[in-house]
Amino acid sequence: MDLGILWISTGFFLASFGVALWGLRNRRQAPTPLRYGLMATGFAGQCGFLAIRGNELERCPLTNGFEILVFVSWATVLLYFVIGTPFRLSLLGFFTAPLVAGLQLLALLLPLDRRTDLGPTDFWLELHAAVSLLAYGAFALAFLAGIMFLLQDWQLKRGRLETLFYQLPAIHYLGRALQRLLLTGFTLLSVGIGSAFMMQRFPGVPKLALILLVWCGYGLVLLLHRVRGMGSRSSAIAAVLCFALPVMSYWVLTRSSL
Amino acid sequence: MRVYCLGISHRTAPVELRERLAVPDRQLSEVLDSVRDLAGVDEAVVLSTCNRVEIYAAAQQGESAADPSGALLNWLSARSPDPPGGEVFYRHASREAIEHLFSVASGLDSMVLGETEILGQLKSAYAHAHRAGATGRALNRLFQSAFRVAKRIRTQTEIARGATSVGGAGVDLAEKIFGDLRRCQVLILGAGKMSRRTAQSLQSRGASGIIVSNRSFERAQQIARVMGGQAIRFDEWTSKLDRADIVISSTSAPHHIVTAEALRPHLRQRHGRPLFLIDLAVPRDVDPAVRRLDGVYLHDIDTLQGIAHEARKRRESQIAACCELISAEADTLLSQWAGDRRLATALPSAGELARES
Repeated sequence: MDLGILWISTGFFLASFGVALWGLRNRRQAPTPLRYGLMATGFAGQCGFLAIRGNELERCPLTNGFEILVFVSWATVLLYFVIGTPFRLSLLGFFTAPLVAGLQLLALLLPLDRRTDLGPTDFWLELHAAVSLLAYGAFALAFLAGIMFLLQDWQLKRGRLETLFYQLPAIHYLGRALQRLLLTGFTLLSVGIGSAFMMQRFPGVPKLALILLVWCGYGLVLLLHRVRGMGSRSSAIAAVLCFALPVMSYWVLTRSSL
Repeated sequence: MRVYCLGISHRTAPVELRERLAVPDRQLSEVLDSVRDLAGVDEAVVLSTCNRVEIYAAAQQGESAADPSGALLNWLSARSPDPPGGEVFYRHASREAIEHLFSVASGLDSMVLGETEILGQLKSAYAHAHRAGATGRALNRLFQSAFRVAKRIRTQTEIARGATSVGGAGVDLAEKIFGDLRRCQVLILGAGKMSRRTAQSLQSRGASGIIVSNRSFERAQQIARVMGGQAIRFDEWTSKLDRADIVISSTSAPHHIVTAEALRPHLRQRHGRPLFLIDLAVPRDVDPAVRRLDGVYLHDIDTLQGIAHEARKRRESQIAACCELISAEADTLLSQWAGDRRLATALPSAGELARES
């Protein structure tokens, strides 16, 4: 049943992307209630899946690569609603929907949903995993905001005002949203790393080193912006490139026994 | 009921004639009364703008009813001390009148294709007539439809998209860079007419702080006074780069005055806030190399003219789609009227339709 809900949720995200594509093709935005409604229904499906799975496992459903992918997708949509909407970044949904649908399709189609020996529950371990993956959701959204920023920057620099130009938000809003997303992700990851030190079984040094590498990468971007006045375009490029770090850490962590 | 439209516009008459026939706001009620006193006129709306003077009227239809279009033509031409010939006026009835109103409301008949100011003027003319009791069932429905059609055309086509003037293109770009212009500071370098116009367009969209710098400080003070801004000496303008968001330059300097070297130290202080440079000078004031700087967006007169030209071309390409929408909406309105007994006679007879086509 939980997988069925996840398939339906994925369908709603794909529909949301389809509606946004239709809007771009017809050079007008689809009605706001439709766009948000599809995203919200997809999100409700994710919540339903995670609730059922969590209930079944009697812990935060982050026990294998499949659940981690779904959790990151959920975090991305959650942060899209929290951060995207107040910044009038409605088109962020256009980019978020295919990313989330893609992640969920990967989770559903690849043989990732393997049951493992779970051992005793540990509050700090669950906090560490959940908060770190929320941070990854923020970084995923920063990656998308970075792509939107670079697209808008490219059009503005060259004076080429194509259809997408009129639908993308003001570049100043994109720059601010990008910084906020990076800061949110960095703060959450700091909490995640902090809670790792409280865990009953201390994580292996290689695993911690990998997460610290992600933390340092994003920390450096924020530091350069705050202290050295790094421009928004450089921050956007950094946000896009740095996203390779969380992706790499997911790939390594789910394929090894670090 | 049958609807009529009679008038002159920038397409048929020069401004000298249009201004003679124009109806000032203070005379509107009186004019509406005298139009309604004409034989056969039951309802009326008078639209008077700088580009057109039009009367929309609804009249009973039937064998005994008089066709008011001749009386309307005589009345309108008599407003001029030197009455013009009939060829400057256009006359539309029934479906043609409906489609004409829809075109006017959508900006298709405007001097600047797709402009939206006309819709506000039309709404105001209708509101005035409605308050004066000069409209009834026919014109109420017709004008409500026109407003809906205009909105539909604006949202479903690109007829109103993109600015068609250099100043407008600058403002559009500024909004795409900053979003809300209310917190934007504008720095004007030089005293060119075009830069003042562009700054005024920015002010009209909310830009608040205006700083004027010119080689002649007295001239800068004059302009600053007119625009409600602040004047600074020409050797001080770089000190404002930390806070200025939009720089409009139109000096007569023979060399670049805004260079990457001049901007670079200030960009760090801006903490990622973009800087928009509008270079309206020929020869150019801003070194094109600044385009490479992070967060700096430069547009010169050529790129702005190019953007405005593209917008005009895009708008022209939308005319056919707009006409299709208008025709479909006219069909809808006529079929609604056919279902309304009191308005059913607004529909032209088969013979009239054949003549009109």
